[in-house]
Amino acid sequence: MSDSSAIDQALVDLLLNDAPLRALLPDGVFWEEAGASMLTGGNATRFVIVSLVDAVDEPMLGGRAYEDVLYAIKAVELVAAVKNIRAAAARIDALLDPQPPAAPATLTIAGYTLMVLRRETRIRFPEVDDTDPSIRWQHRGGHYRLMAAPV
Amino acid sequence: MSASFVFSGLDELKAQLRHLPAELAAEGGHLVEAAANGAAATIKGGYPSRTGDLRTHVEVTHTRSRFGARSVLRNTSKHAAPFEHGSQARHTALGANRGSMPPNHLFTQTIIAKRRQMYAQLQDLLVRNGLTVTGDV
Repeated sequence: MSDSSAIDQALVDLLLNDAPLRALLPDGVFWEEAGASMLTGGNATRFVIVSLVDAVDEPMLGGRAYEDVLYAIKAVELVAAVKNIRAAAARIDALLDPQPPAAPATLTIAGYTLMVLRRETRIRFPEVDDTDPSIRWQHRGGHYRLMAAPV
Repeated sequence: MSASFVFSGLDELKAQLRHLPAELAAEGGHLVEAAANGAAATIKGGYPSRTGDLRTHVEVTHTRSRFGARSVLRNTSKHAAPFEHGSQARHTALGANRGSMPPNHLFTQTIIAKRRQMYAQLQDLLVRNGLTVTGDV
C-alpha cells in the first residue's frame, strides 16, 4: 500500500542519516519548523528545514500512476563564528540532485519507486531580526521536485 | 532575496507559441497577462494585512512583442522571502515576539496553480485555431 507520507519521511531520513550534512548542521532535520536541537536538546541554530510546496497526483486507469511533489529544502544557520551554510546547501544538493559525472540520486521509499529527483530553483536569503540586527540567520537551499510511482 | 517567478513553459509548447501567427499573439498575450494579474490578486488577498507591506510590494510587469508575451510577478518586500520560506528571527519592528514562523508557500503555490490554468488556456487557443499541441502540461 502506498502512503504518501512515506515519501516525505524518506526524504527527511536521507538528509538526517547523512554524516557529512549532520556534521555541518548538527541540530537536525525538521519538517516545516525547527524543534529542539537533536544534538543538545537546546535551541536549534544549525539545521535543515523540509516543507511541502505542491503535490499533484497523476491518475491512470484503475489507480494513481505517480505522485509529483515539490519540496522546499533549505539549510538554516544562525550567523556566528562557524559558517557552514554554503557547504551545507551544497551537500544537500549533492545528495538530492548530483550532477554528472556523479550518478543520479537514489532514494528508498516504502511502497514507491523513485522516478525523478531534481532541483528546480534556488532559495537564498538572509534574515535580520528587526529589533536586534545582530541576530542574523542565513537560509539557503532550493525547490526540489520528486516524482515517485506506487509499487 | 525577493520572491519572484517567471512564467515559462514546456519546450514543445514554447516552440509552438514562438510560431504563433501574429494574430494569435494578442489573444495569447491577454491570457498570459490575465494569469499574472489573477495570481497577483490571489497572493495579495492571501497575505496578512497587519502592516500591508507584503501586499503593497506585489508587482506585475507585462511585456508584449509581435509574436509573444511575458509577465513577471514579484514581491519586493524584504519580508517576502521569510514569509514564503519560513523565518527564525524572533522580534518584529512592531515589538512583537513571534517566535519562528513555518513556511507559507502562498506565492509559489499560487503561481503553480495559475500557470497550470494558463497552459491549458493557451493549449485550447492553439487547438481552436487548428494547431496541434504535443507534450503534457
